[in-house]
This record gives sequence, C-alpha cells and structure tokens, in this order.
Amino acid sequence: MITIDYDICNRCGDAREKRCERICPGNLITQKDEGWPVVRPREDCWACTACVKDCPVAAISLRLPPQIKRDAGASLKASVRGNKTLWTITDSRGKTEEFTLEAVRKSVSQKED
Amino acid sequence: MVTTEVINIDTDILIIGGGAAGCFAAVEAKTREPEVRCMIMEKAHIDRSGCLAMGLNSINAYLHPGQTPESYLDYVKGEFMDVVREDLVLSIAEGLNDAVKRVEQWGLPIEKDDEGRYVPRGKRGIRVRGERLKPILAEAVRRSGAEVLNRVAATNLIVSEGRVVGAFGLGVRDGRFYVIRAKGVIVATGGASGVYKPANPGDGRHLIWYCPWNVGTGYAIGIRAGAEMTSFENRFVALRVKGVQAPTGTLALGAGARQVNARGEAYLDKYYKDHPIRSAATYFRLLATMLENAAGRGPCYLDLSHLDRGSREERRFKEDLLNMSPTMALMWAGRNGGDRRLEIAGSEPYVVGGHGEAGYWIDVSRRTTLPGLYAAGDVAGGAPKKYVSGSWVEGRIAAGTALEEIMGSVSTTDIDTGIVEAERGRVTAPLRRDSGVCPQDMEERLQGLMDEHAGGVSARYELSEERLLVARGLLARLRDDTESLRASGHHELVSAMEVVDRVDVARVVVEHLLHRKETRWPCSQSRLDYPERDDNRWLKFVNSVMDTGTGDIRLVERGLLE
Repeated sequence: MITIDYDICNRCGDAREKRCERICPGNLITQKDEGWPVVRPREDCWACTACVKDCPVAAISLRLPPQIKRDAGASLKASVRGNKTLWTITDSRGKTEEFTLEAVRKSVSQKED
Repeated sequence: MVTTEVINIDTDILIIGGGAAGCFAAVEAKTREPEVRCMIMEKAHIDRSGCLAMGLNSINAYLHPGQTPESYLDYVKGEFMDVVREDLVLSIAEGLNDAVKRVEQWGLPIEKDDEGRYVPRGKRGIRVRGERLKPILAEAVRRSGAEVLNRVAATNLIVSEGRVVGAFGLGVRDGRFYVIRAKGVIVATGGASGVYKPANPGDGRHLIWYCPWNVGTGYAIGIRAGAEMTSFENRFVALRVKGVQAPTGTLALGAGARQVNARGEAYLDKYYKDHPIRSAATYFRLLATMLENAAGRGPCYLDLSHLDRGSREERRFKEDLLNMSPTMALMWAGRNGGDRRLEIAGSEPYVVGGHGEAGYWIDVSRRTTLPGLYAAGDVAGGAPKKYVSGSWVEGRIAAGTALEEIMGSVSTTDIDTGIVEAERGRVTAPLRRDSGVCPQDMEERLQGLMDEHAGGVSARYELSEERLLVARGLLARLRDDTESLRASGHHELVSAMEVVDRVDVARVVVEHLLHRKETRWPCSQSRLDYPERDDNRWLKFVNSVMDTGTGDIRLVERGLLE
C-alpha cells in the first residue's frame, strides 16, 4: 500500500489532474479539498508502484501492510531519471540501498529527445 | 446522480483493452493500413494499465538457437497434458522472436551476451529490464496514430443481426455512456482475478499476482453475447511467494533458489522419480508443495541461502525484483541478517488464457465464434504459456484478420435505439437504487462461495460434484441479486459492473468444472470424485455457450483437432 507524504506533495501545482491520480491503474487516487490527492480504500492498492515512479517530487512510498510483514517499516521509493529509474529501498532500521537501473534503451530515448 | 450524457463514436477497428495484445493489434493495424481508423478502449490510462503496470523482468516465451516452433509446441503439450490447440500454439511460436525484436527496437532493454545474443533465462526465457515496458508499448501506440480512449470500461458488445458491430462503454470517472460503432472489434481485455477469495486478508487482499482490475470483462461480454468459450475449468493457480504473491521464477530460474520443505529437504527430486506428471513442471512444482504440506512437512520454501549478503548475485536478484515485483523487494529488505528462505504457497485461482488456457474459442486467424469479433492475449483460449510475447503475436494476427475482413464490404451498422437505451438503463440502474447490495459485499459473497465450494485456497483447490452443485445454486441466486446492486458514485458503479462480470465468469467456471469428470491438471482442476486422468474419455476440450435468451449455459465437447 502507498503513503503520500503531504509535507513533500505539491499537488502538482495547479494541475487539474494530479500525476498520481492520472496513472493509478485502479483509479484509486482522487482529490479532496484544495486538490490534495487521497487514496481510496487503501486495501484496494495492488502495490504496482506506478504512482510511486510517476510522482515528480517523490512524495509517494510503498510499504507492505502489517498483515503481510511484521516488520512493516521498510519502504520503497522510485523516480524517473531520463531513461533510468532510481530506486531507494529503506529497511526498517532506516538503512537505505539505491539502484539506478536502465528502463529504456539509451539509443531509443535519445532519438525521442 | 444519474448519468445521462451519451457519447457516440464511429471507428473502423475497435480494440477493447490496451495491454500487451491490444497495443500490438493497434500498431499492426495502423502500420499495415495507415488510413484505417483504429481506437483502443482502455479502462485505466494506457501508460500503466493492466498486467504490465508493475513491469516485467523476464519474457518467458522466446525461441533460442536450436529451438523451433515445433519444439515449443512439444513443451506446451507436455505441460498441459496434451489438451492444447496445436494450430494456435504453433502460430504463436512462429511469431515470438519477431515480436520481441520489435519491442526491443521500441526501447525495451534486453540482456545480451558478448556476441549480441539474448542471454537465456531458463530454457525459453530472456532477462529484460521491463520496469517501463507498459509506457514503451503505449508510446508505440501513440506513434502509430491509433486513438486511445482512456478511462472507459466496456459493458457489453453491440450485436446486430448476429454480427458484433461495436461495444458499449462506461466512463469510469464521469459516468458517461459510450456507444462505439466499429466494423470489427478485437477483444483484448485480459483474464479474470477476484473470482475466488484472495489468499491474503485485510489490507493485503489486493496483493494478488494477477491485476485486480482485470475482472473478466472481456470474457463476460462474450459470454453474454453467446460466444463459445473453452477450457474455463483450466484455472490458473500459481506457486508464489506467500504474502506478496510474487512469481517464483525470478527466484528459482533467475537466482538459483532450491525448493525445500520445513526440514530443508529438496522435495522435488523425491517426487520427480516416479510421479506421473513430472514432465509438467509448472503443475508438478505446485502439486509437490501441496503434497508436502498435506504430509506435515510444510511450510515449504525457496531457499536463497547460497546468495551471499551484499554479493553481485544478490544485487542482481534485487534488480530483478524491482523490475517486476516491488513488494518482493520490500519483503527481502528486512532480511539482511537472518532467514534467507521465502515461504511459498499456492495463489488463489485465476481465469486466464496466457498462463492457462481459458478463453474464447477461436480459429487460427483469431476469429471468435461471433462474426466481427476477434480475440487475442489472455482472453483468448486454447493456447497456454503464450505469456506476454505470445500475446503480442496474437494481437498482430487478430489485427491482420480484422483488417482483411473490414476492407471488404463491411460498413458501419445503424444501431437500434432500443438496445442502446436498454443497455444504458442496465448500466446506470445501480445509481438509481436507494437501497440494495453494495458491490463490495457482493464481491465477497462471490469469492467466499467459490473458495469454499469451487476449489479455492481454503479447499486446497479440491473439487467434488456435490460442492460444485452447491456453488451452481448459490451463483444462480447471486446472479439474481445483481439486480439489486446499488452504487453511490461512478467509482462504485464501475465496481458494480465488475462484480456482474465476475459472477458471469464464475458461472461458466463452475459449469466447466462440473463437466470434466476426471483430473487432468492437478490443483488447477483436481476432482476428488474423479481423481484419475482419463485419456480415453477426456482428451478433448470442454466448451460452452450461454443461451442469450434463457441465460442457460450449454456445454459442448470438441476434439483436439477439430
């Protein structure tokens, strides 16, 4: 399930449709007052991380529900860096590990630029 | 709040579902005939919809040097106990490598050796960095010039004088009612999850393997229109990492994990010596695990203790997880010091034609039994183990057939306003009811009865005539009760349509399970009352057609080479 950090979220400025709202394959993110994105019943989340990756300010993280993992403190973030994706895994003790992985072949992404 | 706005759209080829098969169908149609109008109707946003939303770390169907379409067919026949459509499997195998090459050109990173050949992962797979596979496919669709209608869910096919001439849709955000007329319709929605009770409770209920929003709509619209379906008794039960339902191939094939019981014994070998289904590796690994549990030697695990902490191999393993199963990456994150084993268990059953073989009965050109309707991908039956690359091939074939047929004399058909109003009334009815059943409650009723009486997780997938007859009775009542579904907004209205679709799929599943009186595919279709495989009687397909007037489901048997 996902958590939106409202200290980081900037509501995508004044965009009518927020990025997370646009990308969720389950149509689970909607807006409440003043355009803040909110998740509909969190148990509907598939944990696909589409919103985690698409958030331009990395305000969304993925956690496992406590029903699945006792030690539910670990979290995952991801963001797009050109043709690569930057992943950060934080374990329950706060130790982080980063991965920068090619996600689109470089020659193709340059052609598009 | 009652929806009133009706949107009318005309196109040449309508593709329902913008996933693996749908994207390929659209690109194929626009590449061959740039002047043809082609539209994808997509329930979510095409950039991250359906099965591929998370990404992929492996393409499981590819022919490496020395392999042929015939060798691929032999493998699929062995895995599915000979009940497969040879013509369909061969036609898929012939197109696999070309489809993969195309997606690589579109931007998918694929691991290669020093000589530029794809590195095998397992016997028929390749390792990919597919985190962004879905956006890559969506971009190819946009470049092709095909139109994409995002956030519209199909509710029914439009049939006129026996021919499929379009589809009705519901705007999932705004409740608009769409009437889309087309000369040809390709159904590519994917299969069905959520027909059975999920293995995880509470907040974990959507941590399932198959996409929770693939609810079987593609099947349901065909069932309701009287299309012939095949092999719905071939449910797909996956051996998965317990809790997160992550695929085990990444661990076993990608990272060399050993499958062990609670005592640390590698139990596959023990059964492998003499078990009759040992050649069917996928069923065998799951069945052996169920047998170990039944014998008191569970739980069972995939043991990764050979992966040294911080090693290059472990890092590569984590990369694979991020590309496909982010929840598994989290599961692994807390395990720095201790247990290097991951508990494995069977998933809840799904209904799919890409891993399993449940779906539309089609010919080799991907025509369904309804004129004007073509099927590709998970929704198309008879050709299991097509996976993502096989779905791409099917999308291409279906588009080619649809093009050939509509380039002739087919014109857009006028649609009777009576059927438009009837469908609009059906779809919007839950918004008009002040009282009734909410979709969530009905979904849980469905999942509970299927779990208990039609061989779900809690029944250890086991089936018997008595229980299936109970399921049949409960489903009939449940279907009546869908007339009292109530929804308080557009999101809930979509859920109401989804549960109706799931109930229609479940009814067909139960009728198929009742009909096949043998045990052909362990766990997928295990009859306690007919525990043996019977090749003399059952080397054939079980098919069905729903009577569009009475709603009765009629079973048909078809030979392997019909």
